[in-house]
Amino acid sequence: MQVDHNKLTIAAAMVAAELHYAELTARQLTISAKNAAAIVLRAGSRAAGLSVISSFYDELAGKTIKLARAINTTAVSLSVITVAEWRTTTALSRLRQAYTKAQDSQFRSRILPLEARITEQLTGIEARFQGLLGALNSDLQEIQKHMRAIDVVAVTSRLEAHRTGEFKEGLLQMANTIQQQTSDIKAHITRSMTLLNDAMY
Amino acid sequence: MLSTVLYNQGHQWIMFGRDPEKPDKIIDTNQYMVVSAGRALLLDPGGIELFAPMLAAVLKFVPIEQVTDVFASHQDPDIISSLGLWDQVLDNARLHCSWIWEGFIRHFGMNKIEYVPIADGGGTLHIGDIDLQFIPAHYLHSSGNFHVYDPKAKILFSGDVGAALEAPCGPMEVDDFDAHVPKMLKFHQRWMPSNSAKKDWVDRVRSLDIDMMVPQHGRLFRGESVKRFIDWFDALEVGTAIRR
Repeated sequence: MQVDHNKLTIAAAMVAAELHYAELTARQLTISAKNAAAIVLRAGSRAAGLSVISSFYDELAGKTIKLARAINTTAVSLSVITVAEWRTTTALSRLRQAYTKAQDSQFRSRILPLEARITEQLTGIEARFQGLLGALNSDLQEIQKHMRAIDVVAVTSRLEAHRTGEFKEGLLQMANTIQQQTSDIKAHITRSMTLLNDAMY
Repeated sequence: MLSTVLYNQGHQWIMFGRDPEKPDKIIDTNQYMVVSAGRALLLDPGGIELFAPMLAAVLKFVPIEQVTDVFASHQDPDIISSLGLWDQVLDNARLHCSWIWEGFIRHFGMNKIEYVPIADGGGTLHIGDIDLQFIPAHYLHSSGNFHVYDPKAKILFSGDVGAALEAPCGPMEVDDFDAHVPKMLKFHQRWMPSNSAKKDWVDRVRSLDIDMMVPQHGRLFRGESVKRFIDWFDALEVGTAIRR
């Protein structure tokens, strides 16, 4: 699969923005998880089945925040490296043009080692680029997994909430909030993955 | 790109310009190189679009590793936007330019080349077997601006002072000064902002022994036309964009 580096520069910058907002939502998710934990505590034995769930939310929210931050950093690095790649490619292209134009220049051959060196630099940049792209895709998939897990657990927590009597409404509201936040994070991730895929052909 | 040896007595001055393949909409520019005893100085090496033809032309005279110094009269893109590309191919080079532009010029890309700031009063660069002088030309037009004087070759590189806007296929040198004036008039009236800055420059260069004045745009001045230009510029009202 080929990469359109120009598109990817922009895509990486947009992914950085998406993950910034995903992190903000993940922070809200942490608060929601803590609020849910507080209600569960008040509900006591009637919500015994929910205490594990609220810890689970909190843990996943924490992991999501860390991942979102890591992805944000990787995406920014990717954007920076694609600019470095563009500059190096431009230098190589202009160097080759110079070589073509230098037919009658006595020191024309001095361009060749420069070309070799810059080509090597480009290879190094490409390797770093592929590494970052791989890490980005891997982390995005990891967050997606977390969000799928939260979704499944939210369904379970709704069922449990019905057994908590007077705390039912509060807990259902919490489950809805958590599911909405999860959905928002999933949307950021989906958009990010689409942006990256669109830059490949 | 056309290469013309302007001076060749112990050291060389070479002018590069009049590239027939230059993109139409970029302003035509003259680039220069001084070569002395195994070292070369590029003066106002040009914009990104000129990098390839410039490199090819430079290699007619010196191997790339002998280009040890670059001079930028000021910060304009037609002068130095190729810096990021030169930075990739010059391993041990220095860029000489006004101290005020360092933070700005670095935006063109500068990882290997060393920036050597020139103080407002000017300075000297020893290159090979010769000494070149950085002559202050502030506000003509840039706020931090220098010309380069070679006392041995009696050549003054005058940057935008002396520039003429005309088709690049014209003669290399000013042969009829009066006929040349219209080509310079509007440029100097509009681009040069300050009559007092102009007066300062005129006073400085009148004390120099100049055989040839070589600007960054347009034709070169040799002999009598150098004096005629200085007199003409001295008398000219500049800064015409401001209503008085």
